Amino acid sequence: MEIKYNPGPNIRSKRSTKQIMLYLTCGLLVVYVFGLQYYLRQGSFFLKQAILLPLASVITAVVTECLYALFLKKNVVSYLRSSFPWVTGLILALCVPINTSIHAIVMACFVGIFFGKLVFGGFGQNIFNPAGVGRAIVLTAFTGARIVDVVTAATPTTTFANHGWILSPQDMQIFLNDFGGLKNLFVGNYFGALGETSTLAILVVAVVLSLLEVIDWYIPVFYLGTLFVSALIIGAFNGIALQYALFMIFTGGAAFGGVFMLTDPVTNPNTRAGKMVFAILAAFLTALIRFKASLPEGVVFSILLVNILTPAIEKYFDGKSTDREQKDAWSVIAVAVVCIIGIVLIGLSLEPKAYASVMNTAITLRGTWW
Amino acid sequence: MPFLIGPMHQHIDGRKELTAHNEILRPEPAKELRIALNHGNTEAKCLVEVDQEVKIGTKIAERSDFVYVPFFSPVSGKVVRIEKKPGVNLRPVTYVVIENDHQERTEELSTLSEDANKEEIIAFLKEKGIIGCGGAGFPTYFKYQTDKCETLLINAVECEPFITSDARMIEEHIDYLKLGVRMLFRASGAKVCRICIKENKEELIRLLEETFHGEQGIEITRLKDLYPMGWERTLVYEVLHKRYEKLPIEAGAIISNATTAIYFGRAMKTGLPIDQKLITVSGDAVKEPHNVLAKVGTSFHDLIEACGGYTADQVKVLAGGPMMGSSVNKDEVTISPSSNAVTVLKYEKDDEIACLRCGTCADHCPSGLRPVNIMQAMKANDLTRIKLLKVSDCIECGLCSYNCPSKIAVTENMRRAKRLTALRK
Ligand code: SF4
Ligand code: SF4
Repeated sequence: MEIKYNPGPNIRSKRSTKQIMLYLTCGLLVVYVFGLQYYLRQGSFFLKQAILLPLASVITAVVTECLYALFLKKNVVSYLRSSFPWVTGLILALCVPINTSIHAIVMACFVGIFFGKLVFGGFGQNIFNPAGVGRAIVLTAFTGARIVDVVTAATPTTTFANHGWILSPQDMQIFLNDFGGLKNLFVGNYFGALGETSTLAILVVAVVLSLLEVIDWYIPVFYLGTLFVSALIIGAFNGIALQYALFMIFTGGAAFGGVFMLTDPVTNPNTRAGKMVFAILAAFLTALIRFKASLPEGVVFSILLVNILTPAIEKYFDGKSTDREQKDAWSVIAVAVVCIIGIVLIGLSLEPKAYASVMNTAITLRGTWW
Repeated sequence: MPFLIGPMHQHIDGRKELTAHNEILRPEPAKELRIALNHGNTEAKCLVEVDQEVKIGTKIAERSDFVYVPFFSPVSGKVVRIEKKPGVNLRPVTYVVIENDHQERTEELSTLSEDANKEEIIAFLKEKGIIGCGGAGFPTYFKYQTDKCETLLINAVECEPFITSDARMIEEHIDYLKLGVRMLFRASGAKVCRICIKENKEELIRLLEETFHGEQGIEITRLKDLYPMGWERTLVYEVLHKRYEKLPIEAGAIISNATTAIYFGRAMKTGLPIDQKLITVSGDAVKEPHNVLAKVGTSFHDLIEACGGYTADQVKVLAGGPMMGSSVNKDEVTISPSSNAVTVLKYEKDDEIACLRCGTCADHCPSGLRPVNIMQAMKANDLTRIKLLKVSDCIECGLCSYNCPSKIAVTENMRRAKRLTALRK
């Protein structure tokens, strides 16, 4: 019998990073299954994409990290078990457009893992959300990233972006009808990324993951809340208040980004107040990119941009938390107010364009089972 | 505001069922008792010589710098050795080794009448060496030398996992508790006295309610089963909703442990100092966890043997509970008047991975610290930032390590940071 010295504490909670990542993976799979059921009914091409994209992405992620572990001469299995590459692979596959080509996602995933994560020193050290890096690559670097010989459907966000992010009340109605109404946008039976379309599925998963302490609930709440409140105000000036506000958070991967990407603890600040400010700033940047660049992909770029701000936010909120409770509270409120006013001011400068229905596009977009 | 800074505590499975109801063991006192003459990190002055005869209650040492702490012989017999050996904090300390003659001869001991006034009570507490029995061992008389106390808190929370000795003491000695609390209440000059206990200890609450029924100003306060509820700062915040800088008296409170009150009551009636303690010997690597009544100076080894011995090949032996208890590397160390538990756990290596920077450690820190930032500052060797982050406020409660999902030894890093700042003041 041997008495070992071990500085305290000598018991540990059962909650572990491995378990957190396992729950997160399950949550992502639930969202994936929802996407799958929709593409199941959209013909063999889409079904193939829906199956191959995540497979290719996850395999690329795992193989890349395997090779890296071999290169570092580390035990591959234990390395992978504490690095969780498949999570990045899965998130990436769920947020790229369904018609992304396989070679594009393989490249994107490799770049995301390698340049977004490994060059920083691996899990825990990275500055940018690796899946976000990969997604940005698909958007910008590969012109041939999308398979073009297939009739591609207009997504609600691309259509809306093409119309300058605001519509008159009548046009808004026609637009929503084109996509099966707000309810369908919420449920998610429309073309888009595999995992981004169903706000319903994402929110259900988000509630469960919050209860399991896998994600910090206030991040998506502050992110989507800021978008919602400011869109509500902008919409009110244009006579489409609630429709506009809901549209803002139901589409374009806002819920997915808020729940699965902004909550990545590695790339967000490490204090509660910091995380709140981080989420609010992300919302501001999303709106800015959407409105000013007229891009549908505001979410992913805003996430990468706000990742850059993480160290600065951490620096600002540094200190002992009980000493700065008041100051932190006021800081969060101030940032929220400034950001909401900012979004509203930019949003009010938007001019509605005339809307032409996209109903003639080759594929009917209406949901079929709700 | 938990929303902004996190809950600052955590529910931990207490595993108290292991020793909460079974028999209290009363093994024959050992042949040799080894009394460690340290009080915290201060050495007390030895007042006996080798071959000197001692009786129960003979003063063998004292600390008399800014506080006065006497040490007494727990048995009658003869001093056979005075030696330097590692103590519970691994540093060498002086031990007075007394050979027990099993005669139980006792010194002439003074008692205290029930209508003693504040000054008499304080003098008596001091003379009998009554100290905090919750682990820290701070002399009780010292805290009562004030007239600013509004609330007296009797701490029966016992928030460390595995430990049940406070609860068992209350069950066994409810009359001493009643007397001790009543007298401490008088000495404090407070308007209210609140006996704080976890809400899930229903039987004990019923017993306390019966006992203190009709006592003017004494209430039972139920608290949630959270760790570290028994820590003074957390206790004062949860009960009185006040924070303070250094001492609880700034918030108008004096806190005394329930077992301390019991030993005070016992001393009043019998004149005995703290010559024996009820020690919870528990954990997953000791055969039959029990509470053991043992003389001060009994070795951990004897206590563990009384409970059937070890059950694993590699064990951790802790002076105290699993959260705050300190790990010892030899089981020959002995119990002191402030000991309350010996915890024996299987040794398993922690599967540590990279820090997620999730902030969980900060959310639960009862001191409101942000350990993850402190570790960052340590990595960057940024002493100014470590100080700004007030690592000196860390009480080493262990919650940050307990909660860290990446199983990082966060608390140990805090200790290192504290040492670092202490070195280069
Ligand atoms: S030390 Fe542990 S609890 Fe603290 S931020 Fe890092 S991973 Fe989270
Ligand atoms: S050990 Fe120190 S830093 Fe860690 S939770 Fe306890 S008080 Fe806070």
